[in-house]
Amino acid sequence: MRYLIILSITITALLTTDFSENKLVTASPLKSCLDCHPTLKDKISEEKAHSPVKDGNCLSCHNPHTSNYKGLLTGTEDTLCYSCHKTGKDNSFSQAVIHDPVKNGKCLLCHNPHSSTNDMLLTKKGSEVCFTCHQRDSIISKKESHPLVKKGDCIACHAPHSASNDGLLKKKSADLCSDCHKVKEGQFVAAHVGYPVGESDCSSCHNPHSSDSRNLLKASIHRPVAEKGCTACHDAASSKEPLTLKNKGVKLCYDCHTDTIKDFEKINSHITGNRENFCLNCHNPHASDNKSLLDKKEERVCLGCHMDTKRRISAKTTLFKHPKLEDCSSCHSAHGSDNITFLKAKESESCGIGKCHEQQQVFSHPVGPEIIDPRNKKEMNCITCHNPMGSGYKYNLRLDPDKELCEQCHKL
Amino acid sequence: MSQTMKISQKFRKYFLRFTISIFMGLICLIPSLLFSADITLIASLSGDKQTGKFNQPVSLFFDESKKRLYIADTGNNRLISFDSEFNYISEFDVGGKLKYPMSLVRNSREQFFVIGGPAKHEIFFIDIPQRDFRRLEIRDSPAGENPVVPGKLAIDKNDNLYITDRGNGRILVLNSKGRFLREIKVENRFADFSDMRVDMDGNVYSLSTLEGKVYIFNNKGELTLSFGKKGEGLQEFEFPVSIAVDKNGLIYVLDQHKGSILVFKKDGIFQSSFLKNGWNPGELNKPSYLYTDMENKIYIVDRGNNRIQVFQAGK
Repeated sequence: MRYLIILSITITALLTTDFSENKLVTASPLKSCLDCHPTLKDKISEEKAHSPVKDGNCLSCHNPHTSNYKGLLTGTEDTLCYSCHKTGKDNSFSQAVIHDPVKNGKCLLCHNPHSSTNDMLLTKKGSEVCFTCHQRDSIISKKESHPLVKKGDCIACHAPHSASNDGLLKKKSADLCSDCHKVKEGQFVAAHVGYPVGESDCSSCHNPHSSDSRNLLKASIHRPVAEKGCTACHDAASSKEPLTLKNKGVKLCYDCHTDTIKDFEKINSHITGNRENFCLNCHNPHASDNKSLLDKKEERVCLGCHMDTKRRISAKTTLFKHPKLEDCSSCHSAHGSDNITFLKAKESESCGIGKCHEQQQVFSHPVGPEIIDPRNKKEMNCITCHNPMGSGYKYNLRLDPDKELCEQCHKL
Repeated sequence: MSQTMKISQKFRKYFLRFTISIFMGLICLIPSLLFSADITLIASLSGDKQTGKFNQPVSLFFDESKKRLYIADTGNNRLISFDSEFNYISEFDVGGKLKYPMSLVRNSREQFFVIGGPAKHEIFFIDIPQRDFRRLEIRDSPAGENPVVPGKLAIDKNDNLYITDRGNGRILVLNSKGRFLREIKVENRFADFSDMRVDMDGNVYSLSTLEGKVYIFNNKGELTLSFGKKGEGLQEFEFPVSIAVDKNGLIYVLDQHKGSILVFKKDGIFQSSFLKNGWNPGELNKPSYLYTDMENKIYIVDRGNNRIQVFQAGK
């Protein structure tokens, strides 16, 4: 009986309510909004305004009363944008390689939610929007630049949201380049000593953006490549399958780099990963803009596998970092080491490499074989108290020096 | 009076809700509480006056039949043996010939296989009573892209020897006479078999550090299950380095960067995790190797602390 009464009251209330009272808000919220936000007026009248803005539908994104989100938004940036732009044009949000802002729902890094004078509601024109995050100097500061880069036409090669290829490339590297470069013509083939490299990854030797070398070649080139001695590693250009390698796996590299074998004969070694040739985990066999023909910048090569180290050192709580943190090989031996964590020297001697902490070696808390850490009976050294990879405490201390650090050993 | 009744009813309602939520919380915690409460540190070995200080121990092996613990004290170029009470028995270095032992097993005929040597990538056969010490040649195995680089050893109840080949991302299986039986690998060329164990049924439990994945193969070398991924979550791996399986079929994975052991059921379902990073007894600093015996003892090479810690799990 009680439910019947509640139901009848509800129905009566619904029937008798005059919804026209809310008409102002639902029909034309824009007018009420513009009363207080007059600067939006010009933007809205722009031809390239966002369609909800054009329609005066402010409430599709904003709550006029209260909100838990900045700008009185009705949800987070990503949930709001993706509620309408679900998959992107041609599933452009969900390919294998996703641009970080898309992954993190930071659409407003590139787009203006109201209106813009640029296409696609971009906040800046053409490549300028890309250079907001991708440092211009690192891309086009060299003597020679690719014509498309000069033009600022980043999206000629890169998909801004997601792509199925590394580097957000719209096509595989070879296919992308051969769209413009006639890779089968005599001049091209002759320039590459007769090898059919048009089918390969051009960025193995060329920097697709800019370079100080002619033909956009990368800064350091593997000697056989520089001397056009491709047959050091590959079959002859005239053979049936000229790109076939002369030796299997790592043996191909060891043929010349005989001294390197010893680097791997250590207690800890980086013989791991790519079973086709583990040298290729880190090195580019043709050319590179990085030292030691590293495929990427050293830090990126190392942190590519050591992802959790990357997370830890980039965590907000890691306030204090070693100044050489990006130069992993200043302390670690990349191929192999007989010391723990691939250190170049023993833990106790590691901080003295390159006379970095000479002063501290003379004046510090007693360390050395006679000074034993009571917790694990190991000799004390710099690493006992300091975490060279970074920490939340000053001087990279492992624990709070005002609280628990000293008390670990010096019990009160 | 009615006001008092209302308050009393309200109190009862909230008390009931509170009790239920506490009860539910406890139910969720029971598996990990039961497990973690039953782990006790029973020994910590780092060397003493008799043995000298350990120097970078890398792995160990517990011989169930003899109840002996063998530690590869790699930096000191020796194997050290202890009894089941962790009393020192002896050490040997094959008259100075044994260099950098990095992984070892002992078969039912009391012969050792040890990875080490000046190049640190060779397998040696050691028969102490026969004074036999020689390099083990792996014959008849399919050629890989790279030279064979042995990483870890395991042995099954039939004395078949299992070798992780770091150079080619595979596991090689040799019979008790050293003849090649089979190779085990997966499609992903980046799967590095960084460690493995074999259970009583011949199932092989292996670990890929780079992928953060456990691969389980049956006794024919067929993949039966794989699980795990890299991440920061409780059930995820940061840098898994060693794997073990206990007599009940629980799978233990040692995570070097978390400084803890993650326990999974046979079917890969996460059960619990225990231990943490640190320097004090019972804590781990860059641990590198894990071993479980038939009495549910868990042996950990706590490399950053230069010691072996032994824990007793519930029997």
